[in-house]
Amino acid sequence: MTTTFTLMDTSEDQVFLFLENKGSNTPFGSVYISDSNGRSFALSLENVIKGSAVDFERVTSLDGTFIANKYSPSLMTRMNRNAYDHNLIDDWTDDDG
Amino acid sequence: MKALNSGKRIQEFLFHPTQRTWALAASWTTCAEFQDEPCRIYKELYYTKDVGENWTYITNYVFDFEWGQSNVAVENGFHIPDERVWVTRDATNKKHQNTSRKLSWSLDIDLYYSDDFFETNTMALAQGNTIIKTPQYMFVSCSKEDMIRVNVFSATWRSGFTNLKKVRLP
Repeated sequence: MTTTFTLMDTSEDQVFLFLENKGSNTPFGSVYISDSNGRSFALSLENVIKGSAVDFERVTSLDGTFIANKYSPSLMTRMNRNAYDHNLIDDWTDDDG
Repeated sequence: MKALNSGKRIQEFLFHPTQRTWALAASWTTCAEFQDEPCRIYKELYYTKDVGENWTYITNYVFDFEWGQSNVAVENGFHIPDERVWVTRDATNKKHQNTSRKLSWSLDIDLYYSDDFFETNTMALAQGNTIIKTPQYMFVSCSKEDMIRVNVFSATWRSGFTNLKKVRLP
């Protein structure tokens, strides 16, 4: 089975990678975030919706802020704002080298 | 060989990240270009330093290509030669180039870079087939022996994208 990765953003000295759920024909996937070298990944957000494109956008006016559309079975589909903690991002960045 | 500005079609085009008049362009050969030898269809890479007025041939049997420069590296004072070009190519092929790359990875395609438009070049990764490059990162997919699966390597601008190491994908 083919695993499809989509490179979502690299502007914050870390890589946001979208991985489609296995099983095909599911409109969901997970967003993973990397270390500053772009080599190790940790899960950031599950059940992110993908139509023709992944519902994941960088807020260009607010560094470190991204908006994703996440499917939540208990609360119905809704827009979730996912503002990442800057301290956490700094930890990733400090890990470089 | 036929010059790009003498009727050859440009199939792919890529401006330089920092030199506004520089660009890379790729074009496939046509049988009309081979009058005294058997026809061979393959992708050629050219560069211009004057927004397309003049084109100079770089290399052939090219799959992916990227400029080596990065505006993030420049902003942070890290030196990468403006002339650096990354290319994945099949250096051994003497026949038609396979255009359906997505169906089959190749063990014959390798990743190279050159700082003098392939007067000289360095092989950076054996079996490096495809390149995805952003101002911060470069990712290269390398075919495994089964030609179905790949290993992905990454490097950052801090090494001039040369420190390619294997990625542990989720």
